[in-house]
Amino acid sequence: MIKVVIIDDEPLAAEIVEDFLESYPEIKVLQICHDGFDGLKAIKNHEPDLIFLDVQMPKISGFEMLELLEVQPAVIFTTAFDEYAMRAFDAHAVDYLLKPFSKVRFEQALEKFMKMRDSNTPLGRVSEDLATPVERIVLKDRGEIKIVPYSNVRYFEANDDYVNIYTADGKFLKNKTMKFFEKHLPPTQFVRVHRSYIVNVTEITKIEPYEKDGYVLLLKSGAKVPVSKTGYPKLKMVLGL
Amino acid sequence: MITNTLKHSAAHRYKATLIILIWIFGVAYLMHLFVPGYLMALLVSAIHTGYLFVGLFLLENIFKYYSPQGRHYLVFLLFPLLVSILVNVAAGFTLEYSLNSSDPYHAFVFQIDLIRWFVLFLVSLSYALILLLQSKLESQLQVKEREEQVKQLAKEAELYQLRQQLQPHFLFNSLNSISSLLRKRPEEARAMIVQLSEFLRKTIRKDERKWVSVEEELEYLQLFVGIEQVRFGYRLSTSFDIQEEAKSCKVPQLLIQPILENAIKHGLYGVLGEVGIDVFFALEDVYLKVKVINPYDPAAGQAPGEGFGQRAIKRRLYLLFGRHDLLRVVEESDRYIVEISIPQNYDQSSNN
Repeated sequence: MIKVVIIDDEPLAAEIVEDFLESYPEIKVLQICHDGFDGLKAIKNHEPDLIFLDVQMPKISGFEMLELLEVQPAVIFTTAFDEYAMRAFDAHAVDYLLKPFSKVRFEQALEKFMKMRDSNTPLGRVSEDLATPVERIVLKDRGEIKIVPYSNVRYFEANDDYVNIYTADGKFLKNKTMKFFEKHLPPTQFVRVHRSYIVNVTEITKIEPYEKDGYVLLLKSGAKVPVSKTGYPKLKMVLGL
Repeated sequence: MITNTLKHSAAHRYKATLIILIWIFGVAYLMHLFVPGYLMALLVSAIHTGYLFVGLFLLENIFKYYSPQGRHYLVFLLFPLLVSILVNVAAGFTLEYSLNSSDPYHAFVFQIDLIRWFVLFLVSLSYALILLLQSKLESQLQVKEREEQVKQLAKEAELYQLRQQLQPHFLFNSLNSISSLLRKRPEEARAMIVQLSEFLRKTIRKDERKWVSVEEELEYLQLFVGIEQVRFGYRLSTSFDIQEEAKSCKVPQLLIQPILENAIKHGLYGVLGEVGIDVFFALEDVYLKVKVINPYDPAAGQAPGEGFGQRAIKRRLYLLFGRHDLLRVVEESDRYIVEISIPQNYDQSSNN
């Protein structure tokens, strides 16, 4: 049996997927969700083999929902927007169905999924290189989901495979790399001043010399962030010094 | 022209001086044909030209602040007349003092008093005519330029309209809903097709320069809401509250629908669960106030692209009324309120 969860905020859009799936006796639709939060719960509860996922949904998008998953099931995106196709590809989606889609097109997508499943092709994990324009960061905090606009972040600190994110509301952990944030945050506001630190320049109150030829940043919150030799020129450039 | 010449480059001034000198010598030459004595003729001519120059300068400055409109020909003649008399009298006095009364020129100058004045009048009049022509040309050019700008703006607005109104995702998602309804509820599918077609037809046919009554606009808005209702089902509910006096007000077409669309979009994607959108129409003073309220969660990071719709609405209002203060946005802790004021005393036929 193939377990399926459908996640779409428009009931009729979810219904047509369910409809089309009726001709596959081996497939069982376990739940239909209308937002990403319910989607996360359903995925955790049912551990589906395949999800149908809309992109634009309340509060968090389909892509953001995927980011919060530890184990990603196979994904078929269903959306009316064609501009997300590249991102879907980056997210190792099985297929990308543009609404409205035909039964034939739907069957092709499922066939693709079956083939991948039979050949044991790894169905992926969200790629680091998601061309996400980072407007906000979606975090999991003790089972709760938090959405933090990046401008609320004071600084990022490397922590093994994770990154500590310091905001006005406290410290959060996210399983992304420093490289990811360095690449996707707006470079005029966030500077990687150190191998282990990315700082929000609007938070800096003072740059103090430290030891021989090092510097340390004093932030509004009182925190101190070290600046490395290679980080200092980058910081100077952004600050226009 | 004199003012300009004075302000302009040296080359201009040389040319002007040359023309004045030729004029002085020309007049002196003509005069000395009648009464011999070239030097005297030159003096008389120079004095007249000097005063004339001042007179024309005066004339130019008068017309800078007062340009005769329509049929005020008499007023238009009055100024050159005054100037020529003034110049004539002034030149007469100067000659009286500078010329010996026994000089043959003295007698000659006063003999031709009337002719002198007439020539001065003709010169002043021609100059006034040139000034008038020039100002007419200039204002015509300005009008043309402004027309051009307005046309350009209208075109932009139209293009934007096409993009905004026929938002492809709205269309595709609606079609997807129809596709979904077809098998199990074909009657509803048909109803949706009719609704969507009607909405599109109205959108395409609309001329954004025309004004419609609030009631007519409401019909259009309800069509739109009806489609969204089918798409989002129980999650979306919209209420319209129309004050009695507001019903007879007029609104520019295609102005309110984008605001409503924005509110629905941000309501549906900004919060979880059921979303109620409230729309109010009320007449306050000379303004029709249209208020659209959607639930909102300021803690959530705004989705990218936020603000574009609002900028467009602001621009549209500016294009229509030339004012920046007609859009008001209030962010409360859980509600997002957009209010526009549509002046009812505005000339509704000649906008854009």
